[in-house]
Amino acid sequence: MAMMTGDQYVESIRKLDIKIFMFGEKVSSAVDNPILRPSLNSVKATYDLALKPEYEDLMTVKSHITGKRINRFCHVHHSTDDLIKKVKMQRLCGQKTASCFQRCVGMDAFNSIFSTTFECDKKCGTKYHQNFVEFLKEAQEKDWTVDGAMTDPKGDRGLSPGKQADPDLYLRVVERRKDGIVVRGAKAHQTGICNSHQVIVMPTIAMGPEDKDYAVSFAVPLDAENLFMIVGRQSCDTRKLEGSSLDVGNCEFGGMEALTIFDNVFVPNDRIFLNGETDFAGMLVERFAGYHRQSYGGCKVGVGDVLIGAAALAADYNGAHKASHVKDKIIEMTHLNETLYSSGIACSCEGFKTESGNYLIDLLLANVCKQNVTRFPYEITRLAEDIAGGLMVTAPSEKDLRHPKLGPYVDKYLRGVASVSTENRLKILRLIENLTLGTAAVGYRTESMHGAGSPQAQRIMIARQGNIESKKKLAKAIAKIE
Amino acid sequence: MFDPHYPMPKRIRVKYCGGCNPRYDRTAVPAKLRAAFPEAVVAETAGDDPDHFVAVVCGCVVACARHDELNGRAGKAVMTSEKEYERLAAAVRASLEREGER
Repeated sequence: MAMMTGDQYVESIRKLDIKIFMFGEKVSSAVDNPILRPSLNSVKATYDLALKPEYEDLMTVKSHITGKRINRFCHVHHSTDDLIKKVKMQRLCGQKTASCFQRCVGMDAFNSIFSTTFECDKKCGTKYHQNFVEFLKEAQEKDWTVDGAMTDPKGDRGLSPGKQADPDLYLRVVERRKDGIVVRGAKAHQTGICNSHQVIVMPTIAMGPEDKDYAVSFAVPLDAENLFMIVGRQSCDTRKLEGSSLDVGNCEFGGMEALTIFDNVFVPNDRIFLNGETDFAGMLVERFAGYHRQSYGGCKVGVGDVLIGAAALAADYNGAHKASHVKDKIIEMTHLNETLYSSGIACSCEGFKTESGNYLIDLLLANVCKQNVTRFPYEITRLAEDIAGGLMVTAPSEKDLRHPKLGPYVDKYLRGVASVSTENRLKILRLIENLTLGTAAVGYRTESMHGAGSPQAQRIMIARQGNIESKKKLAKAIAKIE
Repeated sequence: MFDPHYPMPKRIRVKYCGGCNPRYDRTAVPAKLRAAFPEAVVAETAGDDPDHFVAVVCGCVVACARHDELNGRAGKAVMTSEKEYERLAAAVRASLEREGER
Protein backbone atom coordinates (compact mmCIF):
# COMPACT_ATOMS: atom_id res chain seq x y z
CA MET A 1 0.00 0.00 0.00
CA ALA A 2 1.93 3.03 -1.22
CA MET A 3 -1.06 5.39 -1.10
CA MET A 4 -3.93 5.54 1.39
CA THR A 5 -7.43 6.84 0.79
CA GLY A 6 -8.60 9.67 3.02
CA ASP A 7 -10.81 7.28 4.97
CA GLN A 8 -7.91 4.87 5.48
CA TYR A 9 -5.85 7.76 6.80
CA VAL A 10 -8.57 8.68 9.28
CA GLU A 11 -8.84 5.11 10.54
CA SER A 12 -5.05 4.81 10.80
CA ILE A 13 -4.99 7.85 13.09
CA ARG A 14 -7.88 6.48 15.12
CA LYS A 15 -5.84 3.35 15.85
CA LEU A 16 -2.97 5.33 17.39
CA ASP A 17 -2.93 5.95 21.11
CA ILE A 18 -1.93 9.60 20.80
CA LYS A 19 -1.96 11.38 24.12
CA ILE A 20 -3.65 14.76 23.58
CA PHE A 21 -4.78 17.19 26.27
CA MET A 22 -7.12 20.14 25.76
CA PHE A 23 -8.83 22.40 28.31
CA GLY A 24 -7.14 20.41 31.07
CA GLU A 25 -8.57 17.07 29.98
CA LYS A 26 -7.37 14.11 27.95
CA VAL A 27 -8.94 13.93 24.49
CA SER A 28 -9.93 10.41 23.54
CA SER A 29 -9.04 10.86 19.85
CA ALA A 30 -8.25 13.61 17.39
CA VAL A 31 -10.63 11.90 14.98
CA ASP A 32 -13.89 12.48 16.80
CA ASN A 33 -13.27 15.73 18.65
CA PRO A 34 -15.16 18.65 17.01
CA ILE A 35 -12.34 21.12 17.71
CA LEU A 36 -9.62 18.86 16.30
CA ARG A 37 -11.55 17.19 13.47
CA PRO A 38 -11.21 20.04 10.92
CA SER A 39 -7.43 19.75 11.27
CA LEU A 40 -7.63 16.05 10.52
CA ASN A 41 -9.93 16.79 7.57
CA SER A 42 -7.32 19.09 6.02
CA VAL A 43 -4.76 16.30 6.03
CA LYS A 44 -7.40 13.85 4.82
CA ALA A 45 -7.79 16.13 1.78
CA THR A 46 -4.14 15.54 0.86
CA TYR A 47 -4.97 11.82 0.56
CA ASP A 48 -8.26 12.29 -1.27
CA LEU A 49 -6.84 14.75 -3.80
CA ALA A 50 -3.98 12.39 -4.62
CA LEU A 51 -6.44 9.76 -5.83
CA LYS A 52 -8.29 12.10 -8.19
CA PRO A 53 -7.08 11.99 -11.81
CA GLU A 54 -7.44 15.75 -12.20
CA TYR A 55 -4.90 16.39 -9.42
CA GLU A 56 -2.58 13.39 -9.61
CA ASP A 57 0.04 15.19 -11.69
CA LEU A 58 0.74 17.49 -8.75
CA MET A 59 -0.26 15.28 -5.85
CA THR A 60 1.65 12.14 -6.81
CA VAL A 61 5.10 11.25 -8.07
CA LYS A 62 7.27 8.21 -8.64
CA SER A 63 9.46 7.38 -5.64
CA HIS A 64 13.16 7.58 -6.39
CA ILE A 65 13.69 4.76 -3.89
CA THR A 66 11.06 2.19 -4.84
CA GLY A 67 9.79 3.37 -8.22
CA LYS A 68 6.23 3.19 -6.87
CA ARG A 69 3.74 6.01 -7.23
CA ILE A 70 3.57 7.88 -3.92
CA ASN A 71 1.99 10.97 -2.46
CA ARG A 72 4.24 13.93 -3.25
CA PHE A 73 4.22 14.89 0.44
CA CYS A 74 6.47 11.84 1.02
CA HIS A 75 8.83 12.68 -1.84
CA VAL A 76 12.45 13.81 -1.99
CA HIS A 77 12.76 16.34 -4.82
CA HIS A 78 15.00 15.22 -7.66
CA SER A 79 14.66 18.11 -10.11
CA THR A 80 13.64 21.74 -10.31
CA ASP A 81 10.40 20.45 -11.82
CA ASP A 82 9.78 18.60 -8.55
CA LEU A 83 10.40 21.81 -6.61
CA ILE A 84 7.99 23.75 -8.83
CA LYS A 85 5.31 21.09 -8.59
CA LYS A 86 5.66 21.08 -4.83
CA VAL A 87 4.67 24.78 -4.75
CA LYS A 88 1.82 24.20 -7.18
CA MET A 89 0.56 21.28 -5.10
CA GLN A 90 0.61 23.47 -2.01
CA ARG A 91 -1.35 26.18 -3.77
CA LEU A 92 -3.90 23.57 -4.80
CA CYS A 93 -4.21 22.20 -1.25
CA GLY A 94 -4.59 25.75 0.13
CA GLN A 95 -7.37 26.39 -2.36
CA LYS A 96 -9.20 23.20 -1.42
CA THR A 97 -8.95 23.59 2.37
CA ALA A 98 -8.53 27.34 3.02
CA SER A 99 -6.29 26.31 5.88
CA CYS A 100 -2.95 24.79 6.78
CA PHE A 101 -2.94 21.20 5.50
CA GLN A 102 0.07 20.34 7.63
CA ARG A 103 1.97 17.77 5.59
CA CYS A 104 4.50 20.25 4.13
CA VAL A 105 6.52 20.38 7.29
CA GLY A 106 7.24 16.66 7.13
CA MET A 107 8.11 16.88 3.43
CA ASP A 108 10.49 19.76 4.15
CA ALA A 109 12.05 17.76 6.98
CA PHE A 110 12.51 14.77 4.64
CA ASN A 111 14.35 16.87 2.09
CA SER A 112 16.59 18.76 4.50
CA ILE A 113 17.53 15.63 6.48
CA PHE A 114 18.15 13.63 3.31
CA SER A 115 20.95 15.95 2.15
CA THR A 116 22.29 16.87 5.59
CA THR A 117 22.70 13.27 6.75
CA PHE A 118 24.49 12.45 3.50
CA GLU A 119 27.04 15.21 4.04
CA CYS A 120 27.35 14.48 7.77
CA ASP A 121 28.08 10.80 7.09
CA LYS A 122 30.68 11.76 4.51
CA LYS A 123 32.53 13.97 6.97
CA CYS A 124 31.95 12.17 10.26
CA GLY A 125 31.65 8.52 9.20
CA THR A 126 28.19 8.25 10.76
CA LYS A 127 25.34 6.10 9.39
CA TYR A 128 22.49 8.58 9.61
CA HIS A 129 21.70 8.72 5.90
CA GLN A 130 20.95 5.01 5.74
CA ASN A 131 18.82 5.34 8.87
CA PHE A 132 16.92 8.13 7.23
CA VAL A 133 16.47 6.42 3.86
CA GLU A 134 15.01 3.37 5.63
CA PHE A 135 12.65 5.63 7.55
CA LEU A 136 11.68 7.48 4.36
CA LYS A 137 11.04 4.20 2.56
CA GLU A 138 8.63 3.17 5.30
CA ALA A 139 6.98 6.61 5.30
CA GLN A 140 6.42 6.34 1.54
CA GLU A 141 5.19 2.76 1.69
CA LYS A 142 2.77 3.47 4.55
CA ASP A 143 1.87 6.95 3.25
CA TRP A 144 2.50 8.48 6.66
CA THR A 145 1.75 12.01 7.68
CA VAL A 146 4.93 13.09 9.40
CA ASP A 147 5.13 16.20 11.55
CA GLY A 148 8.41 18.11 11.42
CA ALA A 149 9.21 19.55 14.83
CA MET A 150 11.82 22.27 14.95
CA THR A 151 10.82 25.14 17.24
CA ASP A 152 12.03 24.77 20.84
CA PRO A 153 10.47 26.96 23.55
CA LYS A 154 13.86 28.75 23.66
CA GLY A 155 13.50 30.41 27.08
CA ASP A 156 15.84 33.39 27.30
CA ARG A 157 16.50 34.32 23.65
CA GLY A 158 19.76 35.95 24.69
CA LEU A 159 21.26 32.66 25.88
CA SER A 160 22.44 29.58 24.00
CA PRO A 161 20.77 26.21 24.69
CA GLY A 162 23.31 25.06 27.27
CA LYS A 163 23.25 28.35 29.18
CA GLN A 164 19.50 28.44 29.87
CA ALA A 165 18.33 28.50 33.50
CA ASP A 166 16.34 25.36 32.67
CA PRO A 167 18.38 23.05 30.40
CA ASP A 168 15.21 21.50 28.94
CA LEU A 169 14.13 24.68 27.17
CA TYR A 170 15.83 23.27 24.11
CA LEU A 171 15.17 19.59 23.43
CA ARG A 172 18.23 17.53 24.32
CA VAL A 173 19.70 14.09 24.81
CA VAL A 174 19.59 13.25 28.50
CA GLU A 175 20.89 9.71 28.24
CA ARG A 176 22.94 7.80 25.68
CA ARG A 177 22.39 4.05 25.76
CA LYS A 178 23.73 1.17 23.73
CA ASP A 179 20.39 0.76 21.95
CA GLY A 180 19.52 4.43 21.52
CA ILE A 181 19.04 7.76 23.26
CA VAL A 182 16.58 9.29 25.71
CA VAL A 183 15.47 12.83 24.94
CA ARG A 184 13.72 15.50 26.99
CA GLY A 185 12.29 18.86 26.00
CA ALA A 186 9.41 20.32 24.05
CA LYS A 187 8.55 21.58 20.59
CA ALA A 188 6.11 24.46 20.27
CA HIS A 189 3.55 25.51 17.62
CA GLN A 190 3.24 22.07 16.01
CA THR A 191 0.42 22.36 13.49
CA GLY A 192 -1.13 19.00 12.72
CA ILE A 193 0.84 16.98 15.21
CA CYS A 194 -2.34 15.69 16.85
CA ASN A 195 -3.25 13.91 13.62
CA SER A 196 0.14 12.73 12.40
CA HIS A 197 1.61 9.23 12.41
CA GLN A 198 5.21 10.16 13.18
CA VAL A 199 7.21 13.18 14.24
CA ILE A 200 10.68 14.11 13.03
CA VAL A 201 12.56 16.29 15.50
CA MET A 202 15.26 18.71 14.38
CA PRO A 203 17.38 21.29 16.20
CA THR A 204 16.08 24.84 16.09
CA ILE A 205 19.31 26.83 15.72
CA ALA A 206 22.93 26.45 14.71
CA MET A 207 24.94 24.99 17.59
CA GLY A 208 28.43 25.40 19.00
CA PRO A 209 30.59 22.50 20.27
CA GLU A 210 29.30 23.10 23.83
CA ASP A 211 25.75 22.27 22.70
CA LYS A 212 26.42 18.69 21.66
CA ASP A 213 23.43 17.26 23.52
CA TYR A 214 21.13 19.66 21.73
CA ALA A 215 22.30 18.81 18.21
CA VAL A 216 19.87 15.96 17.78
CA SER A 217 17.46 14.79 15.09
CA PHE A 218 15.29 11.67 15.13
CA ALA A 219 11.87 10.21 14.38
CA VAL A 220 9.39 8.60 16.73
CA PRO A 221 5.76 7.52 16.36
CA LEU A 222 3.19 9.92 17.78
CA ASP A 223 2.04 7.36 20.30
CA ALA A 224 5.54 6.85 21.71
CA GLU A 225 5.76 6.43 25.46
CA ASN A 226 6.16 9.71 27.41
CA LEU A 227 5.24 11.84 24.41
CA PHE A 228 2.13 14.00 24.75
CA MET A 229 0.55 17.16 23.39
CA ILE A 230 -1.24 20.14 24.90
CA VAL A 231 -3.49 21.74 22.29
CA GLY A 232 -3.20 25.48 21.67
CA ARG A 233 -6.23 27.77 21.82
CA GLN A 234 -7.42 29.62 18.77
CA SER A 235 -9.63 32.64 18.41
CA CYS A 236 -13.28 31.46 18.15
CA ASP A 237 -12.26 27.79 18.69
CA THR A 238 -15.26 26.87 20.84
CA ARG A 239 -17.66 27.96 18.11
CA LYS A 240 -16.90 24.50 16.74
CA LEU A 241 -18.71 23.04 19.77
CA GLU A 242 -21.91 24.94 19.02
CA GLY A 243 -22.99 22.81 16.09
CA SER A 244 -23.38 25.71 13.66
CA SER A 245 -21.75 25.25 10.28
CA LEU A 246 -22.49 28.85 9.31
CA ASP A 247 -20.93 30.57 12.32
CA VAL A 248 -17.57 28.80 12.01
CA GLY A 249 -17.03 30.06 8.46
CA ASN A 250 -15.17 26.94 7.33
CA CYS A 251 -16.96 23.97 8.85
CA GLU A 252 -14.87 21.26 7.24
CA PHE A 253 -11.22 22.27 7.34
CA GLY A 254 -8.73 23.88 9.70
CA GLY A 255 -5.37 23.51 11.38
CA MET A 256 -4.61 22.97 15.06
CA GLU A 257 -1.37 23.51 16.94
CA ALA A 258 -0.01 21.86 20.06
CA LEU A 259 2.84 22.18 22.50
CA THR A 260 4.50 18.78 22.25
CA ILE A 261 6.28 17.39 25.29
CA PHE A 262 9.04 14.80 25.12
CA ASP A 263 9.24 13.73 28.75
CA ASN A 264 12.16 11.28 28.53
CA VAL A 265 11.28 9.64 25.23
CA PHE A 266 13.40 6.73 24.04
CA VAL A 267 14.67 6.82 20.44
CA PRO A 268 16.15 3.61 18.99
CA ASN A 269 19.47 3.88 17.13
CA ASP A 270 17.94 3.28 13.71
CA ARG A 271 15.72 6.33 14.03
CA ILE A 272 18.52 8.76 14.89
CA PHE A 273 19.54 11.22 12.15
CA LEU A 274 21.89 13.49 14.12
CA ASN A 275 23.39 12.97 17.56
CA GLY A 276 25.98 15.45 18.67
CA GLU A 277 27.45 16.55 15.33
CA THR A 278 27.01 20.24 16.07
CA ASP A 279 28.57 21.34 12.76
CA PHE A 280 25.56 19.97 10.94
CA ALA A 281 22.83 21.44 13.14
CA GLY A 282 23.11 24.77 11.34
CA MET A 283 23.04 23.14 7.91
CA LEU A 284 19.91 21.20 8.81
CA VAL A 285 18.17 24.28 10.19
CA GLU A 286 19.11 26.43 7.20
CA ARG A 287 17.95 23.87 4.65
CA PHE A 288 14.72 23.06 6.46
CA ALA A 289 13.96 26.76 6.88
CA GLY A 290 14.70 27.33 3.19
CA TYR A 291 12.33 24.60 2.05
CA HIS A 292 9.66 25.74 4.46
CA ARG A 293 9.99 29.36 3.35
CA GLN A 294 9.48 28.15 -0.21
CA SER A 295 6.40 26.23 0.97
CA TYR A 296 4.70 29.44 2.06
CA GLY A 297 4.89 30.68 -1.51
CA GLY A 298 2.39 27.94 -2.33
CA CYS A 299 0.16 27.23 0.65
CA LYS A 300 -0.58 30.82 1.64
CA VAL A 301 -1.25 31.67 -2.00
CA GLY A 302 -3.89 28.95 -2.18
CA VAL A 303 -5.58 30.26 0.96
CA GLY A 304 -5.24 33.76 -0.50
CA ASP A 305 -7.07 32.57 -3.62
CA VAL A 306 -10.02 31.58 -1.42
CA LEU A 307 -9.95 34.89 0.46
CA ILE A 308 -9.82 36.91 -2.76
CA GLY A 309 -12.74 34.89 -4.10
CA ALA A 310 -14.65 35.46 -0.86
CA ALA A 311 -14.01 39.21 -1.00
CA ALA A 312 -15.16 39.36 -4.62
CA LEU A 313 -18.33 37.45 -3.70
CA ALA A 314 -18.93 39.76 -0.74
CA ALA A 315 -18.71 42.70 -3.15
CA ASP A 316 -21.19 40.97 -5.47
CA TYR A 317 -23.58 40.25 -2.61
CA ASN A 318 -23.27 43.79 -1.28
CA GLY A 319 -23.98 45.19 -4.75
CA ALA A 320 -20.62 46.98 -4.71
CA HIS A 321 -18.80 44.92 -7.32
CA LYS A 322 -18.98 47.64 -9.97
CA ALA A 323 -17.41 50.33 -7.79
CA SER A 324 -13.99 51.20 -9.21
CA HIS A 325 -12.27 51.22 -5.81
CA VAL A 326 -13.60 47.72 -5.09
CA LYS A 327 -12.34 46.45 -8.43
CA ASP A 328 -8.98 48.04 -7.71
CA LYS A 329 -8.78 46.41 -4.29
CA ILE A 330 -9.43 42.99 -5.82
CA ILE A 331 -6.66 43.72 -8.33
CA GLU A 332 -4.32 44.71 -5.49
CA MET A 333 -5.11 41.52 -3.55
CA THR A 334 -4.43 39.47 -6.67
CA HIS A 335 -1.19 41.32 -7.33
CA LEU A 336 0.04 40.69 -3.79
CA ASN A 337 -0.98 37.04 -3.86
CA GLU A 338 0.65 36.35 -7.21
CA THR A 339 3.80 38.14 -6.04
CA LEU A 340 4.04 35.59 -3.23
CA TYR A 341 3.57 32.81 -5.75
CA SER A 342 6.22 34.34 -8.03
CA SER A 343 8.96 34.03 -5.46
CA GLY A 344 7.82 30.52 -4.51
CA ILE A 345 8.17 29.51 -8.15
CA ALA A 346 11.38 31.51 -8.66
CA CYS A 347 13.28 29.90 -5.78
CA SER A 348 12.19 26.52 -7.16
CA CYS A 349 13.31 27.26 -10.73
CA GLU A 350 16.71 28.31 -9.38
CA GLY A 351 17.06 25.15 -7.32
CA PHE A 352 20.21 23.06 -7.48
CA LYS A 353 21.43 19.54 -6.84
CA THR A 354 22.96 18.73 -3.45
CA GLU A 355 25.71 16.16 -2.90
CA SER A 356 23.07 13.60 -1.95
CA GLY A 357 21.28 14.03 -5.28
CA ASN A 358 18.15 15.77 -4.09
CA TYR A 359 17.37 19.36 -5.02
CA LEU A 360 17.54 22.41 -2.79
CA ILE A 361 15.82 25.69 -3.52
CA ASP A 362 17.68 28.96 -4.05
CA LEU A 363 17.99 30.13 -0.46
CA LEU A 364 18.05 33.85 -1.19
CA LEU A 365 14.84 33.73 -3.20
CA ALA A 366 13.17 31.38 -0.69
CA ASN A 367 13.92 33.86 2.09
CA VAL A 368 12.64 36.75 -0.03
CA CYS A 369 9.49 34.67 -0.59
CA LYS A 370 8.91 34.19 3.12
CA GLN A 371 9.75 37.81 3.92
CA ASN A 372 6.95 38.84 1.56
CA VAL A 373 4.68 36.32 3.27
CA THR A 374 5.27 38.09 6.59
CA ARG A 375 3.64 41.18 5.05
CA PHE A 376 1.32 40.57 2.12
CA PRO A 377 -1.33 38.34 3.74
CA TYR A 378 -1.86 41.14 6.28
CA GLU A 379 -2.57 43.60 3.48
CA ILE A 380 -4.75 41.06 1.68
CA THR A 381 -6.81 40.52 4.84
CA ARG A 382 -7.07 44.29 5.39
CA LEU A 383 -8.44 44.73 1.88
CA ALA A 384 -10.82 41.78 2.34
CA GLU A 385 -12.17 43.35 5.53
CA ASP A 386 -12.50 46.68 3.73
CA ILE A 387 -14.55 45.11 0.93
CA ALA A 388 -16.62 42.87 3.24
CA GLY A 389 -17.84 45.69 5.46
CA GLY A 390 -18.45 45.73 9.20
CA LEU A 391 -21.14 43.07 9.10
CA MET A 392 -18.44 40.38 9.05
CA VAL A 393 -17.92 41.09 12.75
CA THR A 394 -21.39 42.23 13.84
CA ALA A 395 -23.73 39.72 12.20
CA PRO A 396 -26.03 37.74 14.51
CA SER A 397 -25.62 34.01 14.91
CA GLU A 398 -27.07 31.19 12.84
CA LYS A 399 -29.43 30.48 15.74
CA ASP A 400 -30.88 33.97 15.32
CA LEU A 401 -31.20 33.46 11.57
CA ARG A 402 -33.11 30.20 12.19
CA HIS A 403 -35.22 31.59 15.06
CA PRO A 404 -38.93 31.63 14.23
CA LYS A 405 -39.45 35.20 15.45
CA LEU A 406 -36.00 36.79 15.02
CA GLY A 407 -35.07 35.02 11.80
CA PRO A 408 -37.38 37.01 9.51
CA TYR A 409 -35.89 40.26 10.84
CA VAL A 410 -32.32 39.05 10.32
CA ASP A 411 -33.27 37.88 6.86
CA LYS A 412 -35.01 41.14 5.98
CA TYR A 413 -32.49 43.64 7.29
CA LEU A 414 -29.23 41.88 6.50
CA ARG A 415 -29.96 41.12 2.88
CA GLY A 416 -27.69 42.76 0.32
CA VAL A 417 -28.70 42.43 -3.34
CA ALA A 418 -32.19 41.00 -3.71
CA SER A 419 -31.05 38.05 -5.83
CA VAL A 420 -28.82 36.56 -3.13
CA SER A 421 -30.14 35.04 0.09
CA THR A 422 -29.17 36.58 3.41
CA GLU A 423 -27.89 33.18 4.44
CA ASN A 424 -25.43 33.05 1.56
CA ARG A 425 -24.30 36.59 2.29
CA LEU A 426 -23.68 35.64 5.91
CA LYS A 427 -21.83 32.47 4.87
CA ILE A 428 -19.30 34.40 2.83
CA LEU A 429 -18.85 37.03 5.54
CA ARG A 430 -18.24 34.30 8.12
CA LEU A 431 -15.64 32.74 5.84
CA ILE A 432 -13.86 36.10 5.64
CA GLU A 433 -14.10 36.42 9.41
CA ASN A 434 -12.67 32.91 9.81
CA LEU A 435 -9.68 33.70 7.61
CA THR A 436 -8.95 37.16 8.90
CA LEU A 437 -9.59 36.87 12.63
CA GLY A 438 -11.10 33.47 13.41
CA THR A 439 -9.51 30.06 13.74
CA ALA A 440 -7.95 30.18 10.25
CA ALA A 441 -6.23 33.49 10.99
CA VAL A 442 -3.77 31.48 13.07
CA GLY A 443 -2.56 29.93 9.84
CA TYR A 444 -3.10 32.78 7.42
CA ARG A 445 -1.89 35.71 9.52
CA THR A 446 0.33 34.95 12.52
CA GLU A 447 1.76 31.78 11.00
CA SER A 448 2.62 33.89 7.95
CA MET A 449 4.56 36.16 10.29
CA HIS A 450 6.35 33.60 12.46
CA GLY A 451 5.99 30.20 10.79
CA ALA A 452 9.21 28.97 9.11
CA GLY A 453 11.00 31.69 11.05
CA SER A 454 10.13 35.22 12.11
CA PRO A 455 10.91 38.13 9.74
CA GLN A 456 14.32 38.84 11.22
CA ALA A 457 15.45 35.27 10.53
CA GLN A 458 14.86 35.85 6.82
CA ARG A 459 16.62 39.21 6.91
CA ILE A 460 19.71 37.56 8.35
CA MET A 461 19.67 35.05 5.51
CA ILE A 462 19.02 37.76 2.92
CA ALA A 463 22.00 39.69 4.31
CA ARG A 464 24.18 36.56 4.06
CA GLN A 465 23.06 35.69 0.55
CA GLY A 466 22.65 39.21 -0.83
CA ASN A 467 26.05 39.40 -2.58
CA ILE A 468 26.51 43.06 -1.60
CA GLU A 469 30.22 43.24 -2.45
CA SER A 470 29.44 42.30 -6.03
CA LYS A 471 26.78 45.00 -6.16
CA LYS A 472 29.32 47.57 -4.92
CA LYS A 473 31.63 46.56 -7.76
CA LEU A 474 28.83 47.04 -10.25
CA ALA A 475 28.15 50.53 -8.95
CA LYS A 476 31.86 51.41 -9.01
CA ALA A 477 32.15 50.26 -12.60
CA ILE A 478 29.22 52.39 -13.73
CA ALA A 479 30.40 55.41 -11.72
CA LYS A 480 33.96 54.99 -13.01
CA ILE A 481 35.43 54.60 -9.54
CA GLU A 482 38.87 52.98 -9.64
CA MET B 1 -15.19 -4.80 -38.64
CA PHE B 2 -13.55 -6.93 -36.01
CA ASP B 3 -9.96 -5.87 -35.52
CA PRO B 4 -7.90 -8.74 -34.07
CA HIS B 5 -5.36 -6.29 -32.70
CA TYR B 6 -7.89 -3.93 -31.12
CA PRO B 7 -11.04 -5.87 -30.39
CA MET B 8 -12.07 -3.41 -27.70
CA PRO B 9 -13.37 0.14 -28.25
CA LYS B 10 -10.58 2.65 -28.80
CA ARG B 11 -9.28 4.09 -25.57
CA ILE B 12 -8.94 7.88 -25.33
CA ARG B 13 -6.78 8.56 -22.32
CA VAL B 14 -7.22 11.94 -20.63
CA LYS B 15 -4.20 13.11 -18.71
CA TYR B 16 -4.68 16.23 -16.58
CA CYS B 17 -2.21 18.79 -15.34
CA GLY B 18 -2.34 19.13 -11.55
CA GLY B 19 -4.86 21.97 -11.56
CA CYS B 20 -3.20 24.56 -9.30
CA ASN B 21 -4.81 27.54 -11.05
CA PRO B 22 -6.87 26.35 -14.03
CA ARG B 23 -8.46 28.94 -16.29
CA TYR B 24 -11.39 26.69 -17.19
CA ASP B 25 -13.10 23.54 -15.95
CA ARG B 26 -10.73 20.79 -17.08
CA THR B 27 -12.97 18.07 -15.73
CA ALA B 28 -15.70 18.96 -18.24
CA VAL B 29 -13.49 17.82 -21.13
CA PRO B 30 -13.94 14.02 -20.70
CA ALA B 31 -17.72 14.41 -20.68
CA LYS B 32 -17.55 16.39 -23.92
CA LEU B 33 -15.29 13.77 -25.48
CA ARG B 34 -17.63 10.97 -24.39
CA ALA B 35 -20.57 12.76 -25.99
CA ALA B 36 -18.63 13.44 -29.18
CA PHE B 37 -17.11 9.96 -29.52
CA PRO B 38 -19.53 7.39 -28.11
CA GLU B 39 -17.69 4.64 -30.00
CA ALA B 40 -14.57 5.24 -27.87
CA VAL B 41 -13.79 4.73 -24.21
CA VAL B 42 -12.67 7.93 -22.53
CA ALA B 43 -10.54 7.07 -19.48
CA GLU B 44 -9.03 9.39 -16.89
CA THR B 45 -6.76 6.77 -15.38
CA ALA B 46 -4.19 4.31 -16.66
CA GLY B 47 -5.59 0.99 -17.81
CA ASP B 48 -4.44 -2.40 -19.03
CA ASP B 49 -5.45 -1.74 -22.63
CA PRO B 50 -3.23 0.38 -24.86
CA ASP B 51 -4.23 4.01 -25.36
CA HIS B 52 -5.41 4.86 -28.83
CA PHE B 53 -5.03 8.59 -28.27
CA VAL B 54 -3.79 10.70 -25.38
CA ALA B 55 -5.50 14.01 -24.62
CA VAL B 56 -3.41 16.12 -22.26
CA VAL B 57 -5.77 18.58 -20.59
CA CYS B 58 -3.92 21.49 -19.02
CA GLY B 59 -5.53 24.34 -17.10
CA CYS B 60 -3.30 27.06 -18.47
CA VAL B 61 -0.64 27.79 -21.07
CA VAL B 62 2.18 26.68 -18.77
CA ALA B 63 1.09 23.13 -19.61
CA CYS B 64 3.14 21.57 -16.83
CA ALA B 65 1.51 18.12 -16.94
CA ARG B 66 4.11 15.41 -17.21
CA HIS B 67 3.17 13.17 -20.12
CA ASP B 68 6.47 12.05 -21.64
CA GLU B 69 5.72 8.43 -20.74
CA LEU B 70 2.20 8.59 -22.16
CA ASN B 71 1.81 8.03 -25.87
CA GLY B 72 -1.29 7.06 -27.78
CA ARG B 73 -1.00 4.60 -30.61
CA ALA B 74 -2.59 7.15 -32.92
CA GLY B 75 -1.18 10.28 -31.38
CA LYS B 76 -1.36 12.82 -28.61
CA ALA B 77 -2.63 16.39 -28.30
CA VAL B 78 -2.28 19.00 -25.58
CA MET B 79 -4.97 21.60 -24.82
CA THR B 80 -4.35 24.59 -22.60
CA SER B 81 -7.57 26.60 -22.93
CA GLU B 82 -11.25 25.99 -23.42
CA LYS B 83 -11.18 27.29 -26.98
CA GLU B 84 -8.67 24.60 -27.89
CA TYR B 85 -11.23 21.88 -27.30
CA GLU B 86 -12.37 21.85 -30.93
CA ARG B 87 -8.77 21.37 -32.09
CA LEU B 88 -8.38 18.50 -29.65
CA ALA B 89 -11.67 16.94 -30.76
CA ALA B 90 -10.63 17.26 -34.39
CA ALA B 91 -7.38 15.44 -33.67
CA VAL B 92 -9.25 12.66 -31.89
CA ARG B 93 -11.77 12.45 -34.73
CA ALA B 94 -9.02 12.25 -37.33
CA SER B 95 -7.26 9.51 -35.39
CA LEU B 96 -10.44 7.45 -35.16
CA GLU B 97 -11.20 7.92 -38.83
CA ARG B 98 -7.67 6.90 -39.80
CA GLU B 99 -8.10 3.79 -37.71
CA GLY B 100 -11.43 3.03 -39.38
CA GLU B 101 -9.87 3.21 -42.84
CA ARG B 102 -7.33 0.52 -42.04
